Amino acid sequence: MSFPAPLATLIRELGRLPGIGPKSAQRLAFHLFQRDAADVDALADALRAAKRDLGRCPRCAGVMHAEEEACPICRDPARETGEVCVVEQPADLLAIERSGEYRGRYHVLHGALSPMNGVGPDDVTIPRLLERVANGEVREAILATSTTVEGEATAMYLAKALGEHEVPVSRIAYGLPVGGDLEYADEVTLGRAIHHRRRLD
Amino acid sequence: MILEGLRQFAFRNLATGELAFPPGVTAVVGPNAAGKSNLLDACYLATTGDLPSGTVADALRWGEAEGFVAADVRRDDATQRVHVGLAAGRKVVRLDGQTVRRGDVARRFAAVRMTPQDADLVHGSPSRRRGWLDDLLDRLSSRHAALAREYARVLEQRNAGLKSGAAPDLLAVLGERLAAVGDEIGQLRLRAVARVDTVAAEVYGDVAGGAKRYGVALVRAQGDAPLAEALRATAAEERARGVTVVGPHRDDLALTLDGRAVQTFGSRGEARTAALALRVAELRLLEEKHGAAPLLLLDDFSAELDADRRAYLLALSGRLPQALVSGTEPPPHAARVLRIAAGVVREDDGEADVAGEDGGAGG
Repeated sequence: MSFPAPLATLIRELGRLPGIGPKSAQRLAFHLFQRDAADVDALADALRAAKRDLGRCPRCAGVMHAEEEACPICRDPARETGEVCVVEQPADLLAIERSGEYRGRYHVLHGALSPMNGVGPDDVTIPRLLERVANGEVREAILATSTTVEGEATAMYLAKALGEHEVPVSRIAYGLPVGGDLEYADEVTLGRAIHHRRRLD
Repeated sequence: MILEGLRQFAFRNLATGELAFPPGVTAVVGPNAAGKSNLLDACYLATTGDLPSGTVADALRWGEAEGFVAADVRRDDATQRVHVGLAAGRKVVRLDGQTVRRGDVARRFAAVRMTPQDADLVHGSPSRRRGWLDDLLDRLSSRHAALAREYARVLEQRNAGLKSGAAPDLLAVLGERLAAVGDEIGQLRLRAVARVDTVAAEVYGDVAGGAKRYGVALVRAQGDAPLAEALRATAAEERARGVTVVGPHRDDLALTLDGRAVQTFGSRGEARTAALALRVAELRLLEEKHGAAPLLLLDDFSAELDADRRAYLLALSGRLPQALVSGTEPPPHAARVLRIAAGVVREDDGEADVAGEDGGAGG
């Protein structure tokens, strides 16, 4: 038996979300079917509102309310330090914000360079970053792309491109998770941590 | 390293059950297609986390969706439980209940498998020999395993970039990374191959009587140049073909007797001895790393008809702490004989049913 068309459509749409396979999509669809109409409306409204009211910050490409001129971080004069931390995704920005250690601004690439996936420098916000550099907004760049091959390639690419503009570039440190036992660290991380050790003085 | 016990469920044609293995030589005897190789493969899988042949789906008994192989392995007076679950085309390796990476088991324990198909190492394509060397290096060095993973990924990205005409700056960055990782892999390979050469020459002499010098050398597509330089030199060819044409992924091993390629000039017997010597070198390098000899899995020993190689393999398996030797007849030095028929394993006296269909399906 095939599902009625509205259900099949719902399952198909849910199944296009990241991390949702056919089984999960089906489970979610049936769950929504069981819920009160008001709950479902609230969800639908939230989805529509999110799409309508969210936009990219014209400066850092981070997520912001569409009616604002810039995201709260770019609007905060206290964060005008000249430091710009480059991350792949908005979620990475939030992760660094949670650390509470960073007081500068950001630049969100919305991806990492990957020829395999057809992502080149112009498919992420690298041109926008170079504009910011040209405007004198960036006095130091901190590259916080992930440690995957794609993240590393992006960092190396940026290091070159920014180096041409004579902007000091640093890469976030590789190393051990804090509070973890050394013996449980995986060998690659431990190797990196030893390679990038620092002198205590 | 001693394999103390093995349990398996739905692995190829093997009956579900549990087997205990003593140290020394255990013979696995049975007619063709009884499951001798399957039992040895199960032992290899459970001590290295690696399937020696075929896919995960092929490793399951017909009609089963999942299965497992588990082993109690002793090393340095401590016994650990390796559990390799097989399901949905994937392997899940656990060590004492904790999910680990395959390499964590492969670098903790060691087994070497020798089969008549090893002649492929000589006659097969360069990728066969590269695969052998890489697999050995992965087991010797976690650094190599990490480098090899990174190299493969960077290479994939770079080739995709060459094909699609990616930005030159991006290709340059990928090329730099490829060169850095590739040269490190090259150094590890050169070191290992130098040691393989020494051991293999010695083994070849022991088997064949030492008239000819067996040589194993790494032939690098990049020659002696650093990879960055070789990439620059082949830039035009790369652009034309859309692939990276130099680097560790194009290396080969040259196997020679008195300087002449065994593949082309060697007799069938010389090629077999050359392959055997590579396997013994594998065993020796793993032994040197672990400070204890690996488990030897000698598959289809009856197929070895050459008197010199038979004598060598008997002496070798006899001196190791533990070896499983399969064949249609037990070798003379077997301390214990297991009979296998249609996937069911019994002790030779025919009384103890050590792997009944009702045993140990849990876990």
